[in-house]
Formats: sequence, structure tokens, C-alpha cells
Amino acid sequence: MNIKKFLNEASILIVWLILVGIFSLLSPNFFQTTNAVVLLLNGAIIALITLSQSFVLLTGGIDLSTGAVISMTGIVAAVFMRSGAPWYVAAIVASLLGIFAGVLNGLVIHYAGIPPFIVTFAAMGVASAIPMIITRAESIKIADPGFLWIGQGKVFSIPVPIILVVICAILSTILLKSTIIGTHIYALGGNRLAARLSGVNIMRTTIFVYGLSGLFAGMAGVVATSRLGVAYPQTGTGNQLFYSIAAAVVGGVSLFGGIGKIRGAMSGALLIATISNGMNVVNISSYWQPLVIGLIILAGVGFDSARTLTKNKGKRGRSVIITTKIKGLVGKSSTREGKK
Amino acid sequence: MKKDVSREVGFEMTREWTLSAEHLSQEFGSTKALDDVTLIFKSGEIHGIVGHNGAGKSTLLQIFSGALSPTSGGINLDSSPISFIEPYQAYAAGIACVYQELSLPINLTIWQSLFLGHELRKNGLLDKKEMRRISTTICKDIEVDADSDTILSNLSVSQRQLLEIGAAINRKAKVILFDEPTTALEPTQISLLFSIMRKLAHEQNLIVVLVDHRLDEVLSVCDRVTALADGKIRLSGKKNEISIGSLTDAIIGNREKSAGEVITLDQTLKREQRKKSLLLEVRHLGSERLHDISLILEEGEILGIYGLNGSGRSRFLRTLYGDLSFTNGEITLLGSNYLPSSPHYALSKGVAYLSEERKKDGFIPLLTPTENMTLPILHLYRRLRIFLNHTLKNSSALVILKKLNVRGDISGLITRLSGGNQQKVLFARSIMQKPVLLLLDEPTKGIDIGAKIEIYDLIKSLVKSENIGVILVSSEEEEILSITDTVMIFRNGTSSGIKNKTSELDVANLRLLALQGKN
Repeated sequence: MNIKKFLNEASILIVWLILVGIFSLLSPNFFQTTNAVVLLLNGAIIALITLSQSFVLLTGGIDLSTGAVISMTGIVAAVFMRSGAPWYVAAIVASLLGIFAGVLNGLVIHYAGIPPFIVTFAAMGVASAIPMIITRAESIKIADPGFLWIGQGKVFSIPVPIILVVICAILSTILLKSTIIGTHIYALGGNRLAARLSGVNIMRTTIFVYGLSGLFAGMAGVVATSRLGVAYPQTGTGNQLFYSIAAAVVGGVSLFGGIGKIRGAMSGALLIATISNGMNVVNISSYWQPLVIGLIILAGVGFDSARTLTKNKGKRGRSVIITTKIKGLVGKSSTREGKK
Repeated sequence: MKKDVSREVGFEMTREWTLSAEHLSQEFGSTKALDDVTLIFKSGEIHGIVGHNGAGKSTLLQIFSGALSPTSGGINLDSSPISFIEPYQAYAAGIACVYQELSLPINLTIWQSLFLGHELRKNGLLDKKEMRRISTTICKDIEVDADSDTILSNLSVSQRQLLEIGAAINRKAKVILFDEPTTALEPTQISLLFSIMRKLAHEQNLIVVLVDHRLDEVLSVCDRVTALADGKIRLSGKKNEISIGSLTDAIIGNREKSAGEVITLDQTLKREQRKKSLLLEVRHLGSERLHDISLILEEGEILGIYGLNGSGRSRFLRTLYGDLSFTNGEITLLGSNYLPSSPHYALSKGVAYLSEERKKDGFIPLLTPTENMTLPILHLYRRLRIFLNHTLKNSSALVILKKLNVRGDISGLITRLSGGNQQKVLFARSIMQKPVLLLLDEPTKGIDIGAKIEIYDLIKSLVKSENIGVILVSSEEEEILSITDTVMIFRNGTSSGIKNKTSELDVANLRLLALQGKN
């Protein structure tokens, strides 16, 4: 049983090793320190948005606005600095804006009862338009060395973004494993009705999760902008959203909610970052990337639903028999009573 | 294809024909839901089937509509045996069932819904003109005054219910089974429904079967009545040969046997009378589907709530727990005002609830038993107000699990446990909350007799050792009689507020009270 579990978790790293091998064979430039750094720096942004996506997915929701929030927060940080604000204020404001966007998502999802897919889909439109409107679709150059340090600096020769990701991942793991809200997130994703009856505050948990998602997206916006040294109004509207879902799902976070670990999601982010980087290095046209990532999502979700199906297969058959049995014994309307 | 089937069983509708059940038995494990039932429905007649909770009415209906295959015995349509594996086969054979809940999609128009799944075509396209024409005729027959292009969501509930009948007629059904169709209807709508049923049976020579637990209704509309109890036919005959008294006796079942069962349960376990204080007072509680409910619960009391399906029993508990909202009335818990706006609020006031459907909204399948148990009280296991102390959490859960004698792998997911053990885990969850008021909705539903008795003992010892009051909703008479102190009867979303002493009741008069509401 434990060997099976180990293989299950290690399988993604095995796939990763195989990929590294293939890319190294295809191009001598892949297995180089300089490329490894590039890979990890790109990977840091993917990791942040994967964290953003994972929390939401764990509750059974989804955040389609992740990519757009990256663009929005990056531009807002740049605009703040252009008007004279210190770099740390700009970075904090950008992160707060991310939280604000997420909390807004959460509020609408909870109080209007609109599915997360629709709410965050709309938010994606709004958040991607705002930077275009502010800048009239022009990019803003950033010169502040303090801000550039976030994406380009090093501490003990370790790039700052990587340190940032490690800290976020550790804090996220602690949050999920050792706090009440962490347990509530899993409970909400596992059975919303039962969670409610167990006293889980659905409103608070939903808003917290989307706010956290916005925070990580905002941080990703700051890191991405700082790394490039330029704020582009379309930084996050490309493949970012795509990457975040793919990485989380490949890393074992269920699209149906309730299952997943930060460790897995981070391995997923590394895998997606490697594929993206490797395809660049071996000179495959970037037009191919979404195609490959799309197939990866499909495979990941297929695996996920196959897992849920086989897990429930025996039980589902049995539960049908049990429910008809109960229905037969106590009459049908007792089950309806609760619904209406 | 479907057309062929119906032609196959097609016959002259003008002569007399029958649908019959021959020695039908249906077993679920050791329980016999139906026991050698032989019954004939004649064309041109409305046949009423009455019985108490679990008498076998629904099982019988499910067999006729193809939702269940009987363990033994069979069905004959016009003297030739038929059998169904899937519900659509029953439909194709001309047997339609109109359920209490509405099944037609509300986003479609009348003609679309009436022809759903068997649309008419002309030259490969939909023959809308013909379908509209037929729909208009059907609407006239069932007295739904609406254009055939009306969207269903713009119709009233009773009109939609009538359309369900229209859909059955349009499928050329020869037998229409009604499953408690009057529950959601107003008196005028009920008489309309009955006149349509009469038309179908007496003018068009169909078989109409009405399953209902309101005796007055059944006796007013049916030509023939059959009473079921404990899966057996107790009485069957023409309406004018049956008195309401004999019908009631038949429904209530075998007095001697039931009484014997009750006595074997430990009557000796009478608690010592101690000074009781008022725990809960509900005054004139009302909501969308509940009216004017008042009750008083004392500490140390186990109050049973008994009533037929749909009487509002579960609804009342869920309202007390804050899952459903109420519009009128007030509730006092331990002397202070209690306003349950959410389960979260109820929990914080010391109210615990055990759901009737543990799979639907009871436990969280992706968590372990321990995690499920401690979910409502995680704040008790914190270090530095933030971090969860898993060791403390697990050990205190383990103590309770051990006390409750839960068997199975408790470190795995809760879904790996058996039904009885899952229920015990949920019961443990309630105990861990240290509630002052425990609301139990069918606490032993779907679990075996051993686990059942263990849970009864737990409830009893809990009331003995803690200052707690229990309200228990159950449709099992034995359960109510064996563990409660007092019983209230719910009927049509309300209760008279009168508490009966359990010691003065037996199965027969409990059923009688629920049926007639004379308490």
C-alpha cells in the first residue's frame, strides 16, 4: 500500500527525469547551469500561480482570473513607481490589489451563488482590460533597483524569486496541514453540504481561498514585472492561466475538489516549467506550447476522473442498492422532504 | 422501436383487461419489503393503495414502473407475463408513473415537454404544427388553460403536475400510477386531479392506481382499495364493501405482534426521576412549509417526533439547526433567545445535529473518521491559537471512538467503514461537541440491528450522564417506542404540540395518531 502511494507521488518526478533526459539529448544547451537558472526563474512564476490555483481547486472551485490579475498587478506596481512611490509600497499595493480582486471574486461567488467558473471568467475580462486602459496598451519601463531586486536579485547566490516560492510553499503547506482553515478547505471541497452542517463557515472559507489566490497572483505579477524590468499590460494573458491549472492537476490536485497537496502541486509546476523551457531550448515553435500543455491537462484530468471512478466504482454500485433499499423500506418522500 | 413494443402489447382498449401482480416478493437482505403479494388491477377502475411508512407501497410502485426487479413473482399485463429491467421498458409497455416530484424540464414549452423523447417528425424536421395541435387537445383534457408554447416555468406547480399526467397520456399509457400526487396541491386542485383520474378510468377505460396515505381522499375517489402492512396485503376490496374502521385496522397492522416486540425492549431502563429544568421552548414556529409548531423540552428528556413522510419532521429539525430559515415564532434555549441563522450559529449555542442522509450531507468522504469527528470543534485543539495539535486531536477522538466501539480502519478514509460504523462516527461527532441539545434525524437508518442497539444504548447513557435534551425523528415505530420518553406527532407540516407519554403508546395507536392526527 505504501509502495503504491510512494510510486503514485514519485511518478511525476520520474516523468520529469525522463523529460530532462530527452531535452538534454536533443539540445546541448538544456543541461547547463545558465539554463537551469532560467528554468527555475520562469518556474518561480508558474509555481506562484500554481499555488494560487491549487487553493481554489481544493475547495472545488476554479480561478480563471489568475493570469489577468498578474498583468493588472504588474502594471499597477509600475504606475505607482512612475508616480514616485517607493518600490516596496508599489509591491505591497500590487499584492493587496491581488487580494482585493480575489476577495471580490469570493464575495460574488458566495453571495450571488454564481458558479466560480463564470465569476472568475468575468473577472478575467475585467482584470485584463484594466492594465490596457491605464497604459493605453503601452509597456512601462522600470528602473528602480529595489524593485528589480525582487525578480533579479540574489541572496547567498540564490535568486530571490526562488526563495520567495520556497517560503510561500512552506507557509501554504503549514496552512493546509496545521490550521483550522486548512482542514475547512479540504472539507468544503469534499462535501459542501456536510461541511456546512459541521459548522464550517462556508462564506469565510470561500472568501479566504479566493483572496489567497489573488495574493499569489499579485505576487506573481510583481515577480514577473521585476524580472523583465518592464511592465507589459499583457504579461499574464498568455499561457499563465493555462500553466497554473495544468501544473496543479498534473501535481495531483483534483479538479473536483478535496484532494491535493502543495508538494504535488509544486512538482507539477516544476514539470510544466521544464516542458515550457525545454521546448524553447530545442527550438520548437512557441505556437506548439499551448497544444502540448492542453494535452497534458486532458491527460491529468483523465487520470483524475479515472481515479475517482475506480475508487467509487464498487461503492457506487452498492450505494445505489442501499438507497433503493432504504427508499423501499421507508417510502420515497422522506428523502425529498429535505430537498424542497 | 418504442412504437413497435407498444403495438406488440396493444389490444382492444374497449373490452375489460387487467394488470396483475402474481406472488410478488421483494427482499432487501433479511428484510421483506413485499411478501407474496397477489393483486389485480382492472381496467376502468381507480385502485387505491394505502399503507403506513414502510408498508411496501413504494416498493410495489417501483416494481410496476420498472425501477426494481422483484426477488420472486411476476407481473401480467392482460394475462401475458411481462418483465422490465429498465424503467423505459415499462413506459414502452404502456405503464406510466406520475411521481410526487415534478420531472419535466421547466425550460421547455408545453408541447416540447409533452413530446420529449418521442418527438414527431415530418420530412426529417420537427412537425411542430402537429405537436402543437395534439398538445392543445391534451391541455384541454387535463384542464390546463395555457397556450402550448408556454414555457413550463411560467406555469403553476399544480399545472405542471397535471402536465406530468398529460405526458403519460400522450405516451399512450394504459396504466397510470400516481405516487402521492396530492401532497403539493390545494383542495380545489385536488378535486380537479380526481376528476381527471375519473375521466381516465371510467371514460377511457384505463387503469389508474393511486398510492396515498390520506384515507379520506382514497375513499372518495377510488373504486377499489388495497391496504398493505409489513409487505403483505391486509385488506382488498370494493370501496363500498370496506368501512373506514376496517381499513384503519388493516393499515395499523398486526396489533399482537407489534405489541410483543415493544415489550421485549427494555422497559426496565426507566431513569430515576431527577429535578428537570426547561431546556428548549419553541413557540408558534412557522416557515414556508411549517405552521405553528410549539413544544417544550426538558433536560434529560428524549422527545420522539413521529409522522408520515412529508409531515415536516426533518424540516423542523433542520430549522432548529439553522439549516432552513423560519419566518414566524420564537425559540428559547436555556432561557435565552435562540435565533438559528446557520448551522455555525447552532453549533456555537451547543446544538448538535445528526443528518438523516449520512452520504449526502453527513460526512466528508475524503477525510478520515477522526477528521470528520473533530471538524466542528477544531478550535479546541490549537496551539498558540493558530496551529492544530494533531496528536491531541487524534487522541481525544480515539477515546470516543473506543467508547463507541467503532470497528474498522480508522486511519483510512471514512468511506472504508461500514454503514453502521460511519453512523457511529457521526454520532461520536455530535457527542464531542458536548451539546446541550441533540437533534437526531433517523439515527439508525440503513444500519444493521447490532449497531442499532448500540446506538440506542449510547443515546440512553448520554441522557443519563449529561445535562442534555434529545429530539429524535424516526419513521420506525419500534425505535420511537424503545428509547423516547415522550412522543409528538407531526402531520402536514404542523403539530398539535401535545406530548404523549411513550409508556402509554404502542405501535398501533402511534400509527393511528399519525394517520388521523387526533391527539
